[in-house]
Amino acid sequence: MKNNNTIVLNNDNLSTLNHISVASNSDIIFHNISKSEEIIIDVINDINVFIKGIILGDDINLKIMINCKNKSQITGNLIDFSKNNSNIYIDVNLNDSYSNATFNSAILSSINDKKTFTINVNHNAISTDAKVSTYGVCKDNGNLLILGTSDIKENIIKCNTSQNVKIMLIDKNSVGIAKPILKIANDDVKASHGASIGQLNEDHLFYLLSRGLSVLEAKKLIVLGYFNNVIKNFKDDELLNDVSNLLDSRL
Amino acid sequence: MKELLIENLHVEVENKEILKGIDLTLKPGQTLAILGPNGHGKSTLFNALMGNPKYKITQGKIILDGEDITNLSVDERSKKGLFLAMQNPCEVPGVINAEFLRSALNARKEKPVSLYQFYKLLDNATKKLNMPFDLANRNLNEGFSGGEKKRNEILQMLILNPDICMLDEIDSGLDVDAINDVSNAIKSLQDGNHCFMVISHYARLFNLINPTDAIIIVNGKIVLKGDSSLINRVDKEGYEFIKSEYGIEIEKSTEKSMNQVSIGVCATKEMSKNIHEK
Repeated sequence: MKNNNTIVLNNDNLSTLNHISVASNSDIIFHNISKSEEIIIDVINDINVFIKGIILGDDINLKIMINCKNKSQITGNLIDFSKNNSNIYIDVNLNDSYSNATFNSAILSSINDKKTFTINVNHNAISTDAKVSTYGVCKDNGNLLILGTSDIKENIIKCNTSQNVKIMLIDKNSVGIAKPILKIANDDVKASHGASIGQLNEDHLFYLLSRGLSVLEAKKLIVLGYFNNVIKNFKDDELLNDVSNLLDSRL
Repeated sequence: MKELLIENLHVEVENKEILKGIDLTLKPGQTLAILGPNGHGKSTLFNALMGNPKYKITQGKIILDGEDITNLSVDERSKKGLFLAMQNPCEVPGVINAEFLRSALNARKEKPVSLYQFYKLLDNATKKLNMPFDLANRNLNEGFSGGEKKRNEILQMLILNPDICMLDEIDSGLDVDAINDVSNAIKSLQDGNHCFMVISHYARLFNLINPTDAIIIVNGKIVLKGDSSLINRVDKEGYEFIKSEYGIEIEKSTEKSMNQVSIGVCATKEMSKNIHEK
């Protein structure tokens, strides 16, 4: 089996690698990105591209545009641990038939952060599929707005699309807002969207505490479990360790 | 080896008094069967002892080995040797069973156990319970059958090796083989160093683990204390004799009404071409 090409984006090369054309199966790794940038990724062949990684930094403005051509498949798994007034904006354009995107994101908003995370999918060709799942955790007065629009124009038929957002509030001072939006102009599609926002489950917390875990350890396990929908797809020990260490420091 | 002393324990849940003065002493080596009709305070006693914040202790004390633990946090109680095998163990999504168990084990150790030591412990415990090892690698209780959840509670008990084990209807949902496995696991800890408090509605489990003592809780109080013969009497006669012989009216437990919940679907539209053409 031929290994995927790996493109590692980091703070040092981000300015020069801000427009990438990918023509063969590839892993694109966001390695602790912590600066503002606009990145364009063109996927030009019938290939699989995996985008994964961690976003860090203070007050960053990161815009990622992904253009899918032919029958390309994009799988994204991103964790956003950036701080303060960060704004992450992702646009996925499915430009040719049978291209599809699955995008899972996990966002932590803590200690007075006011963050916005947006992920839009534009179905620009018939028979394109997209599944977007976004998980947020807010704590210590953290404020998180998760936006997402799936757009299917008239005559762009036979598309499947879903936008789902879940936010967990660790304490009563935090605020989470979710707006998964469908803009659909024809009837021949399958589409769904959903949002749920809830507090940390006290029964889960009691269960873990009753086995001797401290409140901090228990909350960390619960948040890791919540983010596991994204983390489990990393399949990269270095990234997994980074996530665990970052959660230690942020919780 | 620890002794548990419960003095005049009063407990409220949502401003309603459930336990109305429980006095109890539990010594190492003791296995106490706790009986009583539904909704009279048996599980409340366990939750209050474990420190569940939903159960408010309004009077009384819990003394463990001479130390007042009434106001101790849940995790501290656990580290001091209390263990509650829950009636309805909750499912915690994404938390891997084995990772959780290792964290729980390390929480009570000065030096963390090595991965090898932990897997050896886990392997032995799963074999003792005839549990498939891969349950340990699944999410904590997520998708487990009722019986698997109960076995998983006992697995945790075997690995954490607590001094005082509270088992709340651990036999409900278990098939015959599973009850035997669970009772064998309990018996392996009935070595004089541990003590057990076991809630069950059925004599079968009690016959397997041979309780040394039994109590009946009615209306939030212990109305009868005795030996294991009490279990057989309740099994044969039910609780009617409490009224006829002791003149205690058994209050009807009031079922809580469901919260008002509205469920709706928001702007979900699915339409295939076939449906459209029709």
